[in-house]
Amino acid sequence: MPKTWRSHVLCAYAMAILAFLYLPLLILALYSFNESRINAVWSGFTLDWYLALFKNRRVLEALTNSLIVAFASTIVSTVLGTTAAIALNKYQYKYKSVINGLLYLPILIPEIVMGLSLLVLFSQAHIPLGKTSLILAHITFCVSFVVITVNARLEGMRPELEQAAMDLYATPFQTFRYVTLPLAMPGIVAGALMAFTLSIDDFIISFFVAGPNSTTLPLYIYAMVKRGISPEINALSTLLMLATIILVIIAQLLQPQHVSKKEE
Amino acid sequence: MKEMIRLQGISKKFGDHIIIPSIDLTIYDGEFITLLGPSGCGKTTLLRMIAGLEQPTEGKIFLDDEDVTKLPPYKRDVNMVFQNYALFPHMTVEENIHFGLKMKNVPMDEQKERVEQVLYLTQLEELRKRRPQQMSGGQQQRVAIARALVNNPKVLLLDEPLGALDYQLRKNLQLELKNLQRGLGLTFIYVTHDQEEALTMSDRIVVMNKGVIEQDDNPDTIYHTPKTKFVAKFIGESNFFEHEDGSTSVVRPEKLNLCPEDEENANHPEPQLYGTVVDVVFYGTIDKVFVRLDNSNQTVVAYQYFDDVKRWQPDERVGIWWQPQDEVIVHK
Amino acid sequence: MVAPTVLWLSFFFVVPLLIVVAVSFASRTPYGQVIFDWTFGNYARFTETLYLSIFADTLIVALITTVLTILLGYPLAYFIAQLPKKWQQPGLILVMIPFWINFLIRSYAWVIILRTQGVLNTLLLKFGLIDQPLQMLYNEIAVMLGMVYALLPFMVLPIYVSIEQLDHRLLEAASDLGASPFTAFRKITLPLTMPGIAAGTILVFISSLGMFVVPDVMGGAKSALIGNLIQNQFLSARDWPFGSALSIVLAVLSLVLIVLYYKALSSQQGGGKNAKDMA
Repeated sequence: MPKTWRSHVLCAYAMAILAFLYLPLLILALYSFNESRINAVWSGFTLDWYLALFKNRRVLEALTNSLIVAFASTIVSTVLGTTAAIALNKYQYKYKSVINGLLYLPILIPEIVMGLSLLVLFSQAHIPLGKTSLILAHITFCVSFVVITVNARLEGMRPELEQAAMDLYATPFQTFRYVTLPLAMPGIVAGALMAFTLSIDDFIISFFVAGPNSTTLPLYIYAMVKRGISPEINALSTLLMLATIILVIIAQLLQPQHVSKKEE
Repeated sequence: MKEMIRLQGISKKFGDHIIIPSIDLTIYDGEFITLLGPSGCGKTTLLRMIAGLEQPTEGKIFLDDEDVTKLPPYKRDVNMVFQNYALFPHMTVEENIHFGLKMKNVPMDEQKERVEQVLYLTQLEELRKRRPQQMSGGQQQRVAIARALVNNPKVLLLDEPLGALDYQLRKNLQLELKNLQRGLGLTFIYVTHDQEEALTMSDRIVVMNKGVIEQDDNPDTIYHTPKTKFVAKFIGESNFFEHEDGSTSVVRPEKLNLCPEDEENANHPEPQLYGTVVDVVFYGTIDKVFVRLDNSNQTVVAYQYFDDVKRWQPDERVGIWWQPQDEVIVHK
Repeated sequence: MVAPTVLWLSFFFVVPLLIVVAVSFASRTPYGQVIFDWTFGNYARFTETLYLSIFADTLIVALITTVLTILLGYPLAYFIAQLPKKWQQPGLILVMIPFWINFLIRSYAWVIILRTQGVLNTLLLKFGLIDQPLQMLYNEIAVMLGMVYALLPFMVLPIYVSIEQLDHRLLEAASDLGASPFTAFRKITLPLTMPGIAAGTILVFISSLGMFVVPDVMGGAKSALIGNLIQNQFLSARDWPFGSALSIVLAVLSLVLIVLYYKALSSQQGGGKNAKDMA
């Protein structure tokens, strides 16, 4: 049976690649529980490094900064992105391709370019680097992701649903309130979760636009990594990974099921 | 008869593309009227203009003597059953049906009563808590009709409501719909491209082609005396015989009679044409006999019932005759 | 309603890029102040051997990374796409998750494994396979490994989408017509999933051009790429005009690749798309 050995080889290969993707992350997490501070030798289980994190004033400060920036940029980018996606779906714009280009370009352009150009803007506009500049920057790169996510949801929505609502005496506002919005909601929530994840996880752009008093968790990790290996970094990275994984899974579950067009 | 809808010089253009040049049509109270035509003939556009989902480029629409041309859909007392039902997926059957009443701010007691009534009428009482995606196509179709009916609209618009269902179910629902319409005495405007459906259900059929009304008559007249070649072609099967003056005779295949070429003492008129049988296809209740006419490339088709004397075989020579009253002259 | 977002992106995305363009034609004082004197000097500096070699290195690393991610990513994408429907979503999430964890943490994970007192060296020493710890970090190979590791999900996702959209009846038809599984793959699956490979290539190639985290964490002083060079100009050297010129080149290169990709895509799908519009 040639088909069987072929699929076995494929399966083994795929598993090996998944192991390649996950093993380093698992090792990172595992060593956050290792007692030994310097060695890679396993010397016993401990939660000390996690406890140390919660006593570390600078870690807590970074956490607070990260959360403030993430919440603020999530709220603003979700509102901006959702209204843009709904508008683009509903109305015909003369310069639609230009608008689309503007919305998608921030995703396509290298992050480092976006980071430094914002740095240049803030310095030219005399906006001091700090939480405000971070929030402005994060909103800018999150908006596009929200637009895409909400748009995917809206495009999957048949226009007859809104027409049916209007036919059943719903005013345009009621149509939006009772039909469009509830149906778009999973996409909006997924977009917001994505924005939150991107923001809390962002290193590259924050690296350019953060000020001395607005260190976020990834920036703090970077500073620690530059100083050398320590189990505290492992613990902090593990927590950040865990948060990311949970957020991504929730966002994924909210997305429309990935079914191909031919089956619809 | 009371007028329910009057379309006055309605036309529709999308950019330079003319969908409907100009249409006048009056629809009476309690009528089951069908807009019939191939896809792209403008029938759905016309229906959507009556619903208010589309604006006519020119012309006026009157509903119960009121000019509604400029009214948005939510201010028109008509309801629509959409082609793919367009049920709200985030609401249960009951919530779907309540929607219109809720938007119109009907008092809660009355809402409940009317929803109960319509659930009973459409046999959906057991399914009221279900969501559309948990139901079969036929059940969803019922919900779509219930959701429209509960509002007591002056006119119910149906856009190919049975198009997505399989043959058997479609047959049953055709009858159900017709009975429902008769029982309630409601005005139905029904859009379909299925001529059989139109013939069985309608009081009146408006045959449309390229945005123009080809014929507007009752089903019997449409079938037996088509006014144009298009109508004769689109509805049922027909044989066409071109005349030199540009007119065409239409004879339905069931009206064509076949006889042996060399028949003697026949008790029927002389055959008008002669030809050779090229094919005989069995269709259950009938045989379709295809005959190539002499001195031309034309093939005609005749239906033979089994109680007719003879079953024809390919290559047999036949004479073809028909009664003068079964021949219809059409133009164009 | 789309206006607030358009305004926002104009101000925080387009305007900054325009300022960077302007700065790239400026020069600087010894203290790092920008003077707008409209010079091509910053672009002229690219011809210096040091920068040319960094450019070349970056392109080579990006190219090798792209090839490796295709080789590793295609089978994985294929494997997920042929799983039963209910397993595809979890499989996809499994590939997605590393994509969302930032490059910094993922590079750092490799530092733990590869450094001299790291997990791998400790294991090798313990089993007596080596006597001396190996120097596995801070070289080009480490950077390559880190890049492939970081960017693999970018390749898997688009390829998965293109395989998943493939009409499996085509393969059945091919094998019915006597094609061996390998021939069927080469003649049907591969050409039809080319758009996915192309999309993945664009994503991986552009991302590796601008990458600075991986070389920063896993590479040595010698394995600097354009990304690190830019980072340096802005943060240590304080030579913004030169850094701006570098990043404009990077951005233009990326955009050219994207435009070429869309051109190729639309010329390929032009017929099909029109047919769909008609329906």
